[in-house]
Amino acid sequence: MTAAHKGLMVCRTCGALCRRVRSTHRTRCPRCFDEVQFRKRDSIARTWAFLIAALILYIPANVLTVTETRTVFGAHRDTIMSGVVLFWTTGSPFIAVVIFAASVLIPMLKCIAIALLTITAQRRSRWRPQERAKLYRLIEWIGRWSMLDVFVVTIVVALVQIRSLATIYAGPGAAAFGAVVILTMLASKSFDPRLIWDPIETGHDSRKQ
Amino acid sequence: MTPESNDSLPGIPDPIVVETTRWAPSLVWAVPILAALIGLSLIVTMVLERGSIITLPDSGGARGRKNQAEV
Repeated sequence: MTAAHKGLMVCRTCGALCRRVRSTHRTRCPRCFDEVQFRKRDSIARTWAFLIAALILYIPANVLTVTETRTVFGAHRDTIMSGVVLFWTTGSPFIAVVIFAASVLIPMLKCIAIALLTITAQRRSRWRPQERAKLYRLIEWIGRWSMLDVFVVTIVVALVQIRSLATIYAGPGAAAFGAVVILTMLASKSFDPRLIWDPIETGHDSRKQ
Repeated sequence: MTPESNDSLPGIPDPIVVETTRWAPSLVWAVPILAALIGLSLIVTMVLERGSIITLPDSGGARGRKNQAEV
């Protein structure tokens, strides 16, 4: 039995129950006056919008320069992949693998996972809800940790500022990469995990708010 | 405003309905459009900054064999 089955809504802030009303206006909790929603508003549309934006910016994040090193010997531009190759060939395969996993693999897997959750929720699939719930928790947990190389770039840029000898600038690729991470976090935040379980619990229509 | 039939659970209040002007849900789609524009402008500036590829003319004069420079 769920609140939805009984035609009720739960306040996610104070836990109070109230009746589900179908209204186009905002509904607030009768106890703590925080916004109370049956399901996150336009959950699937918002998740798609943020996910598509993230996928679009994933291209410049990988194509454009992330760091630009200017030394007395000349300027050198690095993208994420050229950085990975550089570390691999100069004898630090471990760092290369870490950077590849954090910057290329994890964002891509995250996007695929969010797309999978959204598609199955949209189609009201009853396919493996337990595993999908697990996947959702994993995505939520990963969130902040995929900013790793943005942190690396900011630290390196701040540290290496030896005037006229060597300076490192952050390129547009770093900004695009940061935007990808933020957008995937917004996408996973817009997704309502309760949509995974709604098709399993029959007897109510969850699609209309 | 039509509460669903759940008379079996008395004492549960209705939520407070606040009449506010809501953003159209389609406005979320401004985010990917904006992302596309920014991404495109970034790539366009990169291509423009790169400049044209210069091919050096092959006059045939500066040719030499490996380890064998003509003096």
